Amino acid sequence: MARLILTRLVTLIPLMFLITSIVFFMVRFVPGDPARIMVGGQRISEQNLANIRAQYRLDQPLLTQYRLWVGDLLSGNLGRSYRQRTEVTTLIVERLPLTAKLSAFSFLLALLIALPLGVLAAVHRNTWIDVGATIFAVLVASSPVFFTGILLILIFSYTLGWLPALGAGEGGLDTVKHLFLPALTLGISLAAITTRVTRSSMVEALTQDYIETARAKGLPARIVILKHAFRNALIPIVTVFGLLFGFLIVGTVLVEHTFGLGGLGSLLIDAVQVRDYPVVQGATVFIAGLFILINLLVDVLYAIIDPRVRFGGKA
Amino acid sequence: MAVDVAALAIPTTQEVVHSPWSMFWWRIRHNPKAIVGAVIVVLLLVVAITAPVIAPHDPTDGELADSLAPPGQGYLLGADKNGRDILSRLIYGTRTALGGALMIVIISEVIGVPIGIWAAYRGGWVDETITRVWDMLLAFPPLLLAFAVVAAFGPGLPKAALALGILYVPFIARVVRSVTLVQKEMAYTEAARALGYGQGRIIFRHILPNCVSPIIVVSSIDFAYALLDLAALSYLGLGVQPPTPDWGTMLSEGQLVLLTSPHVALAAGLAIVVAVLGFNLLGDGLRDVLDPRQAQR
Repeated sequence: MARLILTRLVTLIPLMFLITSIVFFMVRFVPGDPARIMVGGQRISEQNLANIRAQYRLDQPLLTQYRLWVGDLLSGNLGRSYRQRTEVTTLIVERLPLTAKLSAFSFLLALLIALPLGVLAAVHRNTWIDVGATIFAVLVASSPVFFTGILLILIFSYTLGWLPALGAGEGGLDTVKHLFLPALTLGISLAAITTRVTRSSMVEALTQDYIETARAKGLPARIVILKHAFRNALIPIVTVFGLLFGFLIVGTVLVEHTFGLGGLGSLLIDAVQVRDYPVVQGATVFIAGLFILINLLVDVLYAIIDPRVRFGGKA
Repeated sequence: MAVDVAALAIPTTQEVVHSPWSMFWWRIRHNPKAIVGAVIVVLLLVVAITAPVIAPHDPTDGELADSLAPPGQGYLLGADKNGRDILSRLIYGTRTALGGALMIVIISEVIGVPIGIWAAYRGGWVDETITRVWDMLLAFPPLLLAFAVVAAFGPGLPKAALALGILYVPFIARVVRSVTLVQKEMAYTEAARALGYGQGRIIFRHILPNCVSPIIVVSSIDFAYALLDLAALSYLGLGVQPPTPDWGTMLSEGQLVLLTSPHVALAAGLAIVVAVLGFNLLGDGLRDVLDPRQAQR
């Protein structure tokens, strides 16, 4: 296991390095004064500009800047927002819980939609259930998450009046109520992808010899499907859910914007809109780090589920 | 597909010659996904090209008196907050959407195809390094890096398209590399080499033509992704800037008046869904047709 984690780290750490370097150098290669770009092009006195140059070490050679910046990163210092006059780390810590709740909630809903729908479609192959599940998956996958969200707001908030359309609520049950629509929006979109994988994985499992054997033994259909087929179909499904983390990140950014939620995603987008580069830089690096951590976690989980991975065989 | 093989196997009195084109058309006609996708894509192209002729109103000039007019009299799909005809904006928006996505796909191909061929052809550490880098980039969502680009360079369609185009390079390069790897080992490539043909000639005359069909399939699917990513950037106010007619921007404007005039957001959103659906179906269908082995999986 330790070897597996180590080999994954060897590939994941360069990704982190690549992304941090891209976001670091980008703003410095833009034509014009990086200090002016960092403050979002607003009017500012020469004295203040000089202060910013000193604060972001823009008056030093590029490689020195980079070395110092990476040093800061490693000690957990992501810099300081120009607009909000706060540490980027503080801003992230404030915003993270909401995004974490939204992601977990969406993921749960995606599982609750995709697994039953995929299994049903596979068991009732080529019936209206199967066709319906496919049409659902194709249509939802073609709809941008923010439009799916707008449709859900129209239906569940404005027409039926069941759920609130905006904001994150006052905590407890109220938060669950407020987060339900955004989570459902993301959950449906995630489910569109995973339903198809669940279906094809189940179809393959159902055609195996051991299923025939189980049926011939006279086991009830429910047990054959859930215990014999589904268990074996699970590995590709877990892989796909793991791979969807990137999709989930972008999804939360968009959905937070649609539903007016003040999470990490809106922090990033607000900063992009006012071109508060330190925040964009810090948030992107933070998300990249999170991304790598989760990828590592998925790999470990995967090795726990499938012994073939653990022992170095080919899955 | 099975019917196809059976039909070929039956001995006929007449010698039937199946040209690659007739096979292609036969398969296309028997693939509902490809047909629906192709119809949507062709319609979108026609709308984009004939926009000035078919649009009933000016897309950027509105009558403030008609602000948020409901669908019906005078405006088939209603008017937006500034009293501009929504249908006309949708029609002109087709140009923005297809143009932007086309830019992304072309940029990714111009860079990605040579890189893919080069990686496969050179092999060794060049191949190793290039594949490592794009494997990493493939794992990371392009839109997130596009945000950083917009923050640095400012919003606007050309910048967003350039950023996304570069970030899409691995998608195409990966496919071209794997096709080249196979073609490189083919007998006819070997024969060409034995005849003393230069590398340039082998690449352009033998390898590249074989990359065309996978490139078409990937391009169609990338096109769908590009439409979605561009719409997302515009929706967030980071892509196309007003007053240029654009579906993503219309959707975000429509959301502001969702409660009273849902038709604004619905029209723009449905336009995006239909366009993305068209390219997705076309891509899926073309994959079935051009690469039956992969499609059966």
